[in-house]
Amino acid sequence: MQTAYATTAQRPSLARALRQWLGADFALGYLMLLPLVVVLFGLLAYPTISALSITLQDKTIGLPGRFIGLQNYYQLLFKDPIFWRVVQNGFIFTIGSVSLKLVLGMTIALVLNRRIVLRGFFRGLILMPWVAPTVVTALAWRWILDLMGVLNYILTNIGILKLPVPWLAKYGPAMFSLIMVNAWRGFPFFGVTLLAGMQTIPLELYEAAEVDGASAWQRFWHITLPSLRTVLLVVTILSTIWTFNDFSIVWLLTRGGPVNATDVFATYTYKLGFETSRLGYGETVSVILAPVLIGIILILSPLMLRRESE
Amino acid sequence: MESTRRYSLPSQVLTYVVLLAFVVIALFPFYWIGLTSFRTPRGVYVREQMLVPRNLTLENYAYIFTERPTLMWLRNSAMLGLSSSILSVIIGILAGYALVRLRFRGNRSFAKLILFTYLLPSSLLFIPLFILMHSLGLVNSLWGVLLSYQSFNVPFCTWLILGYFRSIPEELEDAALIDGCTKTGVLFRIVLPLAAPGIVTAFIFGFTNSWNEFLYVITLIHSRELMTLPTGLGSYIMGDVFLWGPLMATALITTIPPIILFMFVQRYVVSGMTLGSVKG
Repeated sequence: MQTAYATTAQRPSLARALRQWLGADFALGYLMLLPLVVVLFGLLAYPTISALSITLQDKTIGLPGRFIGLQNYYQLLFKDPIFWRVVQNGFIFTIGSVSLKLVLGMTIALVLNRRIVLRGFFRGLILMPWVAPTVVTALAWRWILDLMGVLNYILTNIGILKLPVPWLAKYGPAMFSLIMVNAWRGFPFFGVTLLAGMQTIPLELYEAAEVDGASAWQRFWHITLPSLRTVLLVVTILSTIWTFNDFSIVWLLTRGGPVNATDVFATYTYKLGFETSRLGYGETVSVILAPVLIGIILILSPLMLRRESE
Repeated sequence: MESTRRYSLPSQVLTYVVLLAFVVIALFPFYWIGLTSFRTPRGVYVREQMLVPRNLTLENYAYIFTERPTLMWLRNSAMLGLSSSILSVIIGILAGYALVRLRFRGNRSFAKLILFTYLLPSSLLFIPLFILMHSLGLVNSLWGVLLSYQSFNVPFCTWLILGYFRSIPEELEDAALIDGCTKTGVLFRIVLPLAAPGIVTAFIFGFTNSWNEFLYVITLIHSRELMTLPTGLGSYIMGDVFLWGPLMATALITTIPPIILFMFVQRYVVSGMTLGSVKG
């Protein structure tokens, strides 16, 4: 850099001052960032700010909103029993799905990490639920779980069930089914990421443990699990964000029904915004839960940045 | 941990039993999509030997291509996928190179900002984006959808490309600079050819993200002929009546492109996945 300054000594001093203050490549750098800045501002920052202002209005589709202060928030928190049902559903759905994904993902990762034939091939097959479009697989499950569907056919035929169960039309089974389908869709992400993490654990650790007479369980608990700590944290938090905000699976399987029994926050926002056309009130649901989400993201980003630089 | 340890026979058997169970559960819905798509409207409800392929027909495929706007949906999906990912990759290359190699104030905090925006879920943004597109007159227009797709594809592709650029040794570029190459020349002659696999991967992930998208299209598009394949599937649901045969035929066609593309990038999938595709 010193040599660069020496050759540009005769340049106008303003440019030199700018370069000194903003960095050597500031002009080209900012120019190349311009398209990204336009997108980030226009499609993310501006909508986020407008989201906040919408929640202070009684905005409906096609009509300009009137300023109504914090009325939307007041109504949502104190006058809307469905909202609290939605919050509860959101937590049950997220905690249930993420823990199931964690268990299934860890199991398949341990299986694939053993010496098996055609590992790459099997890994590819296991990834299919994750790769296929969610809309497609959600509708496939809707058909499998139908009262006349194949799951009831199998379960009644082998004698587990006497009568077919309306999986998606009763509260308990509906939430249970949503958790199962979401876990089915997401466990490959856990499995393959954890597998990649396991393959970086030095083999010597296991050999030493074996010499010391550690059992398979002890090796898992004292070597595998601690080595995967960061990976586990990253995939769990990522999946929590995605599951908490899931729309497609819930919408296509139950539409939040029966009544509001399985509504989560994305489907409730959508119903308020586009079925009753109360955009302002609907967006309030998102905004009120945003601090939780942003908190989670702020915990996650340093972890991901650290992994990136490793 | 490519193990040299020997496993006992029972534990080997158990491993393969568990693996087989996982494979069956992971793949059964695809088998069911395929089988249903080759059955007649009445045939899908026949309980006798329900699991076995019998009395198959192509009539659902004939129906969706001749009587329904399936080709239009296919075209919309393909055009949105291509344009949105090409645009995102170009923006990502420019920004990624600037953030990784150029020296200027703010480049570090900018990289963090990209990750943050990438993690913002679409369920938070769909109402404000709808209002934005409404004020731009882009509701019920594919341009509006393309713009809204950039809100997740641009941060995602930039973040991916940024990572690939970081992995390229800086010495090569320094050598070119000493030989009198300009910074933009370095980008085009050295960095881009070396990062080509990463850029193709970002393109494919971006394409798949757009191809699979659902929420923005159902909020922004009302006309049947402007729908994409995933949203078009919904037109086979009328109240409580599902036309399962045509629906599954369309579903199968919707699934094929992402799966084929995935086979090309399977190698890079893990790194791409921890950065995360837009779903979960």
